[in-house]
Amino acid sequence: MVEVKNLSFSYRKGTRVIDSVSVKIEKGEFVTILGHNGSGKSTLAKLLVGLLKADSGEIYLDGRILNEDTVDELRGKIGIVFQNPDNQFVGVTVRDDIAFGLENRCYPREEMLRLIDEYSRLVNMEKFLEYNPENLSGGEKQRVAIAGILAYNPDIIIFDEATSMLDPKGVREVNEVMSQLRGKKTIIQITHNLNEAIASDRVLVMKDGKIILNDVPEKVFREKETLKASRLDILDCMKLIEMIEATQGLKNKKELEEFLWELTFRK
Amino acid sequence: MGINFSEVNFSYQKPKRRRAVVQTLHGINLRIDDKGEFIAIVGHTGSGKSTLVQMMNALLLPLSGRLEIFGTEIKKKTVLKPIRKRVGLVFQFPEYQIFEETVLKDIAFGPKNFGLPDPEGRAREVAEIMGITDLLERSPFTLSGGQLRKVAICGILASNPEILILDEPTVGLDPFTKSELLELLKKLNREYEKSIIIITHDMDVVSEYAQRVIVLKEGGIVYDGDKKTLFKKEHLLEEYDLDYPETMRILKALKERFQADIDINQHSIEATYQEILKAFGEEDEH
Repeated sequence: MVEVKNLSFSYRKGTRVIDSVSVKIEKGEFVTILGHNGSGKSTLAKLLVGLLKADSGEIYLDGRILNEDTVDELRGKIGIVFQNPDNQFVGVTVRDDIAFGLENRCYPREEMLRLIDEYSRLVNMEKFLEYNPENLSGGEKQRVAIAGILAYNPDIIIFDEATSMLDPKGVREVNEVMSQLRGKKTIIQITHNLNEAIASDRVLVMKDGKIILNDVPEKVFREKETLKASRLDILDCMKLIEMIEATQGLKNKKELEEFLWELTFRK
Repeated sequence: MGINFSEVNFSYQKPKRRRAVVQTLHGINLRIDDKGEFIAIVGHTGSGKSTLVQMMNALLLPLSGRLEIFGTEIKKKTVLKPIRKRVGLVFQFPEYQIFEETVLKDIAFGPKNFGLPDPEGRAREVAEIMGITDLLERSPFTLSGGQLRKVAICGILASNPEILILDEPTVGLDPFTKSELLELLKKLNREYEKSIIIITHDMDVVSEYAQRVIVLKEGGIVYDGDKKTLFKKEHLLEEYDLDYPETMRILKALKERFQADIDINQHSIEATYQEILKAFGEEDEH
């Protein structure tokens, strides 16, 4: 479980990138944080994993407060997959790379080998263990990064725009892994792509460092004006529903609207 | 004029080792006009898209075949500066390459480097077109990602290239910034008659903005032609593993659900809406 209480953060004096954010994410929930470039969503992620330190407010992971004394220990509870697949490799081979997090945590060798085997299979990368990560596609790199995180068994995984630099095949591959983890891990997905939010349990919309919407996708997508004002656009289906609503003399008008609404959530 | 590829092959390996060389690009035949084209290049990672556009800017030379850019054949000893001025290439994440103290200086760097007169005047002009005059005196390090990307594009535009190539220009941008940027490219294309070439994975971008689509697969061009013709052929999309754009996905679903007479090959919300009106509107009284 993740609990954030009244969290504020600024890079420089004056501009609050995170402004009094309070939010609770239950164990096993799949939550999407939506927001435009600069809305504060990635900063919030960095605060959650202890890469940044808040100016005020508290973060609790599984009921334990995150601070200087607990950060090393609590980092084992949370993992983050970054946007750029090229920025998160340390190993010369895929095997080394998955092992890195385990070595840091002093896992015994036998256990390490077993975990590398198990999680490389889970992300479908078991055939690539001796490859140099540099020679992999973007989707493959992200899957290795995910395996490296899963291996040390955190409860919470943050995907910080983890698919935004991938081609459609890479996006599909990563999404498949994400849906496999659903229910087993607490997943926090950060994106500005509304389509990616459709499948989640709950959507948080951020603007100017604040959470301005916090609800199930079906409700959030109806907030057209708020979404537009948050520089997020609305889905094509929603635009068409709006246009159809305003049109006189259409056959099957009601059915059309209902069908477009259903279609939004059918992916 | 413009760019002409004729039977061009390219490989990153040197051919002299006498081993079979893996060719990154093979048998490329392509003509790109220097006026008014809006081309989207699509294809999987590793299909050769970035290699192809780097050849258009003479950053890479053909292994064999003939490549002509604005009438000059590209060979080892060709003087490339005048060519690069006419074909501007904006790399992926161009904002990482911004280094000057102010936006103005950064934009002016390109034209200055090409020895063009009045680089700062040119910088101001393109900043006006791209709507960022208010940023000119600021330090690039205080700008947002979307603003930085516009600055980087201005830096290439300031040398007034006839052909502007952008490698995945919308990656990482939020929907608002993305459509803002694409509208600017459309304006450069329509009002300033520049040929725009973009590499993208986003079929909605292809659908809404491109006129011509080039599909690359394993280093070869498998489709080069009109957008609507490509989207008309469902089997091609499947063969090239391309998604439907959202507008077509919606219309296809409507057509199946309501057994309606719908031409699904529509590429804007307005056109999609009009198609729905046609199919579901009451008959006019005659």
